[in-house]
Amino acid sequence: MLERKNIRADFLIIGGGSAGCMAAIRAGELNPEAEIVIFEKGHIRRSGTIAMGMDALNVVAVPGGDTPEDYIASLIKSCHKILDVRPSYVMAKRSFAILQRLESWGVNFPKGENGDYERLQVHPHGRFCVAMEAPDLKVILARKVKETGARVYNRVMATSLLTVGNRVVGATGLNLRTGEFLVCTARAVLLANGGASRFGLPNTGYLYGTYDYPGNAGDGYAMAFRAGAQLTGFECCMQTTIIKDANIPLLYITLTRGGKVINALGEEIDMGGTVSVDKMLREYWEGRGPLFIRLDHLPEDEIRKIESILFTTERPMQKRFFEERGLNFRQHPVEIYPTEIYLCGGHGMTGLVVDETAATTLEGLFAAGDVACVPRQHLTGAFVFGEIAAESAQEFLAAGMPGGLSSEIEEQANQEYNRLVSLINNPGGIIGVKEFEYKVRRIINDYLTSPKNELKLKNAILWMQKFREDLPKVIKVRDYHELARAVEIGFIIDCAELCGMASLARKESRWGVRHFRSDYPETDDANWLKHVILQRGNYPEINTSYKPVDHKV
Amino acid sequence: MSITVSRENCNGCGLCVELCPLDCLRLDEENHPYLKYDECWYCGTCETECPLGAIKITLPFLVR
Repeated sequence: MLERKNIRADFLIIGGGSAGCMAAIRAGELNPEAEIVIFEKGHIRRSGTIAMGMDALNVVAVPGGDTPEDYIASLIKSCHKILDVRPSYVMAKRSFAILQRLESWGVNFPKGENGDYERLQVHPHGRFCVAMEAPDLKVILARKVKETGARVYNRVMATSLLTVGNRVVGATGLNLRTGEFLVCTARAVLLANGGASRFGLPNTGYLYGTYDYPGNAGDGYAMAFRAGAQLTGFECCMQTTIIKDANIPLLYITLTRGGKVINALGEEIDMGGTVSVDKMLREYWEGRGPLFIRLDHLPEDEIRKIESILFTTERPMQKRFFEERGLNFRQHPVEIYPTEIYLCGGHGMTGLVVDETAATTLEGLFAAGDVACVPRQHLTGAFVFGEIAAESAQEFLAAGMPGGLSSEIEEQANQEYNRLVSLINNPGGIIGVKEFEYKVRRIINDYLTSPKNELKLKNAILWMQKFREDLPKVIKVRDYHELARAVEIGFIIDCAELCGMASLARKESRWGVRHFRSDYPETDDANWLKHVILQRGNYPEINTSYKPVDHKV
Repeated sequence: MSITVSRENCNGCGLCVELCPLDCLRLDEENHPYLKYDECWYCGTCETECPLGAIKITLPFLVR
């Protein structure tokens, strides 16, 4: 049981999704000799948030259209001013090259009669969202990764980072089928394992019916926190409005192509020509929900086009949901509903603190995609910062490993190994992983979803501390798959406590209902144009500090 | 929550088990896939990838 295996890498990539694949591809180009290892929790061919593809590249500054500077102006608005713009600016500048790269790999970006890309408006200003037809995007990426010769460990989830002082030198991994325990030392490590999608509990009560890909349980956030990295944006609890119960997105696809949003009073919501989730959430908040999306005023060919995107890409099971409910856009308004809260550096702004080189605050550790705080970077950010991380890692690949490494690593690996073994051989195990997770996530709904206040947030923190203490004592794990789930619950608990701490620290309200404090209901630009930075003290102690926002490119 | 498998079409290749992003599936004693873990995100990978069209996802009762 839990056999141990030591492996070495030049570049260890944790997470074989969009960011991780692009990093491997770029690293292979820059240094074909480098030993690249990927830990992938699922199977690289179909894994991560875009397992079934994507219908748009949400941030592209197409030459001749809106510029990277326009994008930054728009982004400052949609982030309600809380961001450092430099990484986002670098991303926008490199965004068109990413589009061209994907196009050269056979990804289709539909063009209009004049030969222009289809650019849609989803930001406050500017048309940066470029339509893409890519149900097999992940298959293409996986094929490109294979060409680099990278060693892919499918079904391996990272469970902890290995460190020597402030330097990250590898990670431990658990094969959730065989129970094999991997200790991988590496010259440079990239965290690319997503945000915390399994966070709040969906309205259906179904643990895996989340909006965002439920394989992501905040693994990267928690591992980085435990290793001592700085994190930010944990008070911005993301929510969006999507198809009720199915929890499947459709806003950008329908609303950029003529769809209307109607509230319970039959009034059309005016979003000023763009898609404003803030406005829709406000309608619910003020009691004018449920909201509906209507397409019945559109011509048949437009409805067909919308359906062909919705029913083939990203979440194709939407078609079955419509059929089973007897829904049809031609006759019926489709009810949308606020999702559970979740944490995400791609849609929102929760993540590791990174600069424009994808460097984190720990040496040798890079972060890209939803795990990194590059606010609202979406898929474009995953790709651009995957590339950048591979470029930045090169200097570490050329250097040696820090001295005195083996005994420290051995000790950390032993500790992690023993922790996992004690979870699976738990004589006191009486609570199954599902029941435990359900309670953790129910408490997240109760105390971390807006309206927040000091008492609720303190309750959340106390509960999470209790859960952290209880989990190893009472969790009942029947196999390696469930062991992985138990480890993930530990990640969710850490993320929830981080969220509670950051929400407590930000004594104002911002981002609409994403951080509404009933005890501090106003947005306070005079005092709060700053980031709340979290870092571990003596684990699990959390230290809080503040950093002013930086709007200079 | 379940999947429906056509016993005539399924040849037991296990590709669906191999690819399921959330590791929900396993093969039974006759080499047909079943949903071992009630953790399906109804992403559609198994249906799309099955070369014989032998597998169909049922949306979870809580969701449908």
